[in-house]
Amino acid sequence: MRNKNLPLTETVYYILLVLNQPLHGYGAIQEIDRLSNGDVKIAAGTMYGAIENLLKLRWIKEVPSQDKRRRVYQITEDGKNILGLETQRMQQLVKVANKFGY
Amino acid sequence: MMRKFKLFLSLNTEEKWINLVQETGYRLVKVNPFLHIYTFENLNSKDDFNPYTRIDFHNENMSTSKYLDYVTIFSDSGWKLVYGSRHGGAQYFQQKDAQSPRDIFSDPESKNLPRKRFMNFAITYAILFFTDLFVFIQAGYFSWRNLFDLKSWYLTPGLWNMQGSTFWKAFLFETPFALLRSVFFLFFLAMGIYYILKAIVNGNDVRDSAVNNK
Repeated sequence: MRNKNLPLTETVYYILLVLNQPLHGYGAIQEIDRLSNGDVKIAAGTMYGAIENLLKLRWIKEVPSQDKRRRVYQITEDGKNILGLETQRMQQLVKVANKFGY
Repeated sequence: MMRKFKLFLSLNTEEKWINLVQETGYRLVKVNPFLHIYTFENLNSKDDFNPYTRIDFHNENMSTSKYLDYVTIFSDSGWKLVYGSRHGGAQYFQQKDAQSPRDIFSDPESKNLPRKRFMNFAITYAILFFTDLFVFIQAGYFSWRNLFDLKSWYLTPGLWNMQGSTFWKAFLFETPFALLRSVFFLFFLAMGIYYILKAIVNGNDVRDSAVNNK
């Protein structure tokens, strides 16, 4: 049976992906902007809410930060696991789409 | 400099009103959430950047360091905090310059979250005020019958049978006490109704946007 948290939103997928390295909130916003060639621009309030939610789910964790004003986060094992499941789901989707000639 | 007093039932109407005022050549510089006073400043010249102000809402306390992190994400993204408190309530963010994004939320689900929190906050306060009201009535300080029967606010024996200046003296003497007795009741009643209206209007905003996004 599929994990009840799937599918992920594009925002959550990108945040988990970029948090494979430790980043603060705005760092994640910039990195996602860069990786998506400017297609995915996450606003401050949306990023803050997403981080709160991912912390609650324990998919990311806070790691020590030199900067007192900016908390730094990184993906957890649970987060990596869900990211893997979601990637498999999308790969399957693409495989099916390929069969239809897309 | 311009000061305006205004009450709002929803975050959407409050945000719209602030931005309408700003469009006429002002910038929000101060908010007093207790007195509901908004202070605006004139923009310097006609080509001065005309900012948007957006509202986030929290119904929980944040630690000092968490609040600093929260405000910094906004600041890094081009939003200046006009007014806000780590103890919760509305947080007013204003665009720093023309490069700032148009909104503090980039998808409808996250834009809905503060509206939902505001609704829950309003429901809690409505329940609180109506509970107090109920306690007042149970304790016999006031009853619903008293509300519409102004004569019953006065307790001086035989007051309503007095004549001329004797009546007016006794009447005026007791009026402050009569008001004092009812003022708490009326205050709690008014606040209860105010918060119920807030909960309903914000609930509608949340529902409407959920329907529009489907």
